[in-house]
This record gives sequence, structure tokens and C-alpha cells, in this order.
Amino acid sequence: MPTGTLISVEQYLATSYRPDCDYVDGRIEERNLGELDHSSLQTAVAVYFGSRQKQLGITVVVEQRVQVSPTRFRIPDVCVVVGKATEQIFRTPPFLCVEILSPEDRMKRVKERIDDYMAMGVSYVWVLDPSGRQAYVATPAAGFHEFKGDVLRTENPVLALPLAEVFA
Amino acid sequence: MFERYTEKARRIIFFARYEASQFGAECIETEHLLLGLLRESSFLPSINSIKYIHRRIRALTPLREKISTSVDLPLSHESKRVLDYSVEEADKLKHEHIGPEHLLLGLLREEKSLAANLLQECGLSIARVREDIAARGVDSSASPGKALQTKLLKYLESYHKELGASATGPHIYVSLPSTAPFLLIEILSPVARFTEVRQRIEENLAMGFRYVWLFEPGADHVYLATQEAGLHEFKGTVLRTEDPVLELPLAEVF
Repeated sequence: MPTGTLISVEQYLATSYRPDCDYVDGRIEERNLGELDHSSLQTAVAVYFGSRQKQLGITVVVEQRVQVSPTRFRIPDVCVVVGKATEQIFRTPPFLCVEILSPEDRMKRVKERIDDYMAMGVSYVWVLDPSGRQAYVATPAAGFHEFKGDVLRTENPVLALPLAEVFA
Repeated sequence: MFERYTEKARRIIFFARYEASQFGAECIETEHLLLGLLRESSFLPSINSIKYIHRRIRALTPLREKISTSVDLPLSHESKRVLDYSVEEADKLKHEHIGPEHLLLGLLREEKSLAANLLQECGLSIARVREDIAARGVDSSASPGKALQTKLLKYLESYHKELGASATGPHIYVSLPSTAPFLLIEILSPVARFTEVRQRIEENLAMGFRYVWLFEPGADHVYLATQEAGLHEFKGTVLRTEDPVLELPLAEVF
């Protein structure tokens, strides 16, 4: 798949990529996925919150295009919005974005994605590393940091993810 | 012929020869050089691209009876030109060594070859690879990474005479006069893998380092890791250790 040439936002939005790609200032960026560890953890997180959507009053989606700035689109592995989602492409900041790390993910690129979500106004970003069974959290107040507990948690609304449930 | 080649570049040639023998080829073609490169280089954008290239080469290359690895296989004309281009690229960049990045540029310059076509299909262009080499950090003495490392060393040496500070590769090791390792500073390469960085941090903390500071030149991101708090981004202006107190105002190095 050609990823080197610059394309317009319109071209990106009119194109289906398999798997879907990020769009960053004219450039298509492949996402690292497709391996079992990544897929299993992504499924586990989506199922955990997906099965509690009604109870928690949230909508859970996977691989949803999110326009984080006029010239950038990101595809979080799992995305949670409070209430019902109505936008075909999210332009309102989601409440929570979950990213699952793959062995090929570069530190710089991961941080750029987190910064993009934070700049857009996303309240929480969780980064999960299936190989090291580690979790990282980013919030506007505390920045990006490793999570040392057992249950990832958000406030207002309270969402809780026991890590033992998803790290198989 | 291979005097200027780095260890990695030599391994690429070795693996290219191995790949050619596995395909039963009569000479080492550009696609074999590319397969060798994939084993040693992290220049390709993603694991999906690597898998794609493997799949395409298997589909497009006739598979003959394997040739013993003890048989000496010559380079094809195209592959010879790739090596010549690699030398030219290293010279242009004023690099004394020839590494995987120069071989990659050499492959891209042999435009009609299968290897160049596959690399282009994965979105790589000569311009983009040259950009990546420039952004790679400590590989070049004039890079932002090297400049940052020099500033850090200079500051640490002037700040605390009795601290031992020495640099190896992208790392600066700071030790106390009486005890073992204290602080490890790493200049992150733009292509550093998250999970590998995290693993190195864990290993260094387990070895006894009490603090690990990570600097990402260009983006000006700074990370701090300790055994207790784990890894986190540092948002302040002065990095600080305890016992002994060591302070680094970021304005001194950025």
C-alpha cells in the first residue's frame, strides 16, 4: 500500500484502507496490528465495556475514525463515548481512547497519538502493552504515566477495567 | 570490498546469500538483499509492510532446488549496482561506514528492480529514507541527538565534579563515587520501539540504576523512570534526583 505520497483529507475520507490507517497532515500512517496479542486484548477490552454499555450509559466502538484536528485522523483501537454516539466520524472528543501496543510501535509515534488525543480534548487515554502486561494512562492533569495498580479507573463517569480480566 | 561495511551491513550480505541459496537462485538478486535487510534494519514503517514484502517475494520468485550454502554465489548486475549506489550514498552523507540505511538507499536507487518496486509499494522513497536518516539521532555527529548528548555531558561534568559521567552510544551513565550505578540517561532514537525501551528501563533499574531519564530530541519530550513510580512523562522544568541531589534545568539542554 503506498504510504509515502501526500494526499488530501477528502481523498483519505473517500478511501477505505484494510486495515484502516491514520491520516497525519497529508500522510497515511499504517497502524501496527494483526497479531494475536493485539487482537485478543483489543477484543477483551471492547467486550468488557461493550457488555456494560447500557448499565454505564456509554457507547463502545472499535477502530473508529476520530478527527483530532483539521488535518489529522486517528483510529483508536477502542473508543468510549458517554451516551449515544451519533457522528459517523467522531469530531467531538471521545471520553476514553484505548490503544493496544504492538511490538513494532515506536515510542515517538505512540506519544504523538496520545498528544493528539489530549489536544483534541479526550479525557482519558489508556495504553495497554500485552507483552509486558503493563498499562499507561494519559490525562490532561497528570500527563502520561505508567499505571501501577490493578484496576484502571476514570471519573465522571466512573469506568473501571480490572487488568486481570483483559490481560489473558 | 566490504571494509567500510558495519557489522549489520555484513550480516545483510550474509543473509542475502543465504536467502538466494534457499530459493535455489544462481546469483544474489536485489530481492535477496532486501530479505537480508529486513532481518537487520528497522527502517520499514511496520510489521505489515515486512509481511507484505515476504509474501510478494515468495509469490514472484521461482522456487528451485536449494543450493548448499557452501557454494559461492555471485552478485547479479543489479545487486552490484546496489552496492555501488550504497557507497555513493554513504559518501554523499559524509559517513565513513556503510550501514543498512545506505544499502536501503542503494536498493531504492536501482529503480527497476523487484526490491525497489516492493519498497515503493510500502511507501518508501529515496527522499523519505534520506529524511529518516537525518532524523535518526546519534548516528550522525551533527544530529540533534548527538548535540543534546554533548550538552548533557558538559552540564553534568561541570555541575558535579565527583560524579562519574560517561557516554556510550545513546546512553550516559552517571555513577556515585562510593556506589554503583545511579542515573542512566538515554537519548531516544526516533525509531525506538516502545516495548524495547520499556524493557531496557526495567533491566537498568534491576541492575541498580535509581533513575532513568529519557530524552527525545526534536520533540523535546522527557521521560523519567524509577522503580517506585515506573515510567512517566516529565512536565516540569528542572529534572531532579534525591540523595544526592542532582538538578538539571531543561533550559540548559533544550
